[in-house]
Amino acid sequence: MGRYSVRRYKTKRRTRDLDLIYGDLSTPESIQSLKHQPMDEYKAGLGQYYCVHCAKYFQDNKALASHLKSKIHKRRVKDLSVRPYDNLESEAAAGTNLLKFMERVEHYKQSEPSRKQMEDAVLATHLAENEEKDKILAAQLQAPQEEAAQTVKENLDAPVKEVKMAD
Amino acid sequence: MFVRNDAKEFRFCRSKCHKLFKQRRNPRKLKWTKAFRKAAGKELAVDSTLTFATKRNIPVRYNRELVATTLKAMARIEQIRQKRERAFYKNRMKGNKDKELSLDRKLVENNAVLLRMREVELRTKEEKRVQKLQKAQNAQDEMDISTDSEAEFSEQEESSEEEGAQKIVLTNKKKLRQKA
Repeated sequence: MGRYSVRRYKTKRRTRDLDLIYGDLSTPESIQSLKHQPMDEYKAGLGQYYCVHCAKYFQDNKALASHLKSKIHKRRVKDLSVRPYDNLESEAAAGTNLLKFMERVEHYKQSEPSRKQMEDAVLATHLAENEEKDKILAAQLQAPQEEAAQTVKENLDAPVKEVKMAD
Repeated sequence: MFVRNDAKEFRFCRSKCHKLFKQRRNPRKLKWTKAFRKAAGKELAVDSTLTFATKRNIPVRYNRELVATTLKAMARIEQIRQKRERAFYKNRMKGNKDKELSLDRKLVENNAVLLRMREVELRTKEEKRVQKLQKAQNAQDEMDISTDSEAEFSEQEESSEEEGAQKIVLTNKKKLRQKA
C-alpha cells in the first residue's frame, strides 16, 4: 500500500460499514429518521440532505439529486443488494456457529424481497420531500423579512412627525 | 483487535487481513479466503460435523466425565470431518482425467508434424490439397461464367487492389489458352 492509500484508510477516516448501512435500511422507521434529521450546524447542509446508502451529507437538494445519479452511488446500491458480510459469516467459514449462520441466511432470503420493496418505496419520495421542506423554510424566512421591511418603513415615517410635534 | 463504534469486535490473524479489512475489501471476493472457498463450493460448506462448534455464552459447570467425552468427541469429529473433506475434494476433481485426455488428444492432432506421426501428417496434407483443388475449381467456375468481360477487365484500372485479381485472371487465361 502506498503512502496516500494508507492515509485514506486510517481509522479516523473510516466511514460507515456496509452491514451497518444495511441495518439502517432494514426498517422504514430508521430510513424515515435518517431522511429527516434534526438541523445540525456541524454537518454539511445542516444535516438535511443525507444519502442513506453512502452515509454522506450533501449541501443542498441539487447536490443530493446529482449524487443519486452518479456511478458511486449506483455501485453502493448494488453492493447493498447482496447480503452484507459480517462476523458471523467469517466465523462460519472458520467452522464455528455454522447453524446460526445458516439460519441467518434463510431469514435473509425470506425477508429480503419485501424489505427491498419497502426501501424503494420509502426512498422514492426522498428528493420531493426535501424540496417541500425547502419551500416551507423559504416561505417562513420570507414572511419575517416582509415584516422587517414594514417596520423599517414605519420608523422612517415616525421621526418626521415627532420633530414637528417638538416644534 | 479492532472495535467499531457499535462495539463489534473484529479480530485478525495477521496484518494482511487487517490491511484488507481497512481497505474494505469483501472477503467473499478474495480467492484465498475461507469465506470465498465455501461460498464458491470449493470446500465442504454444509456438513453435520461442522455444526458441533458453536459459541456458547453461558459457562458450563465443570464435570470431569463431560470434559473427557468432549475431548474424545472432538478428536473423532475432526477425523470424520477430514475424511469427508478429502472425499469432497476427490469428487470435485473427478472429471480431470477425462478433460486432460481430451486436451492431450487435441494437442497431438494439432502438432502431428512435431511428433513425426506420418499418418496424421499425410491425412492433414491430403485435406489441404483437396481444399486447394476445390478453391481452384470454384475460381475456374467463376471465370467460366464471366468469360465475356475478361478482355475489358484486364485492360481496365490497374490499381493495386485489382492487380491480384487481374493476375488470377491472366493465369486463368493462360491455362485456358493452354487447354485450348
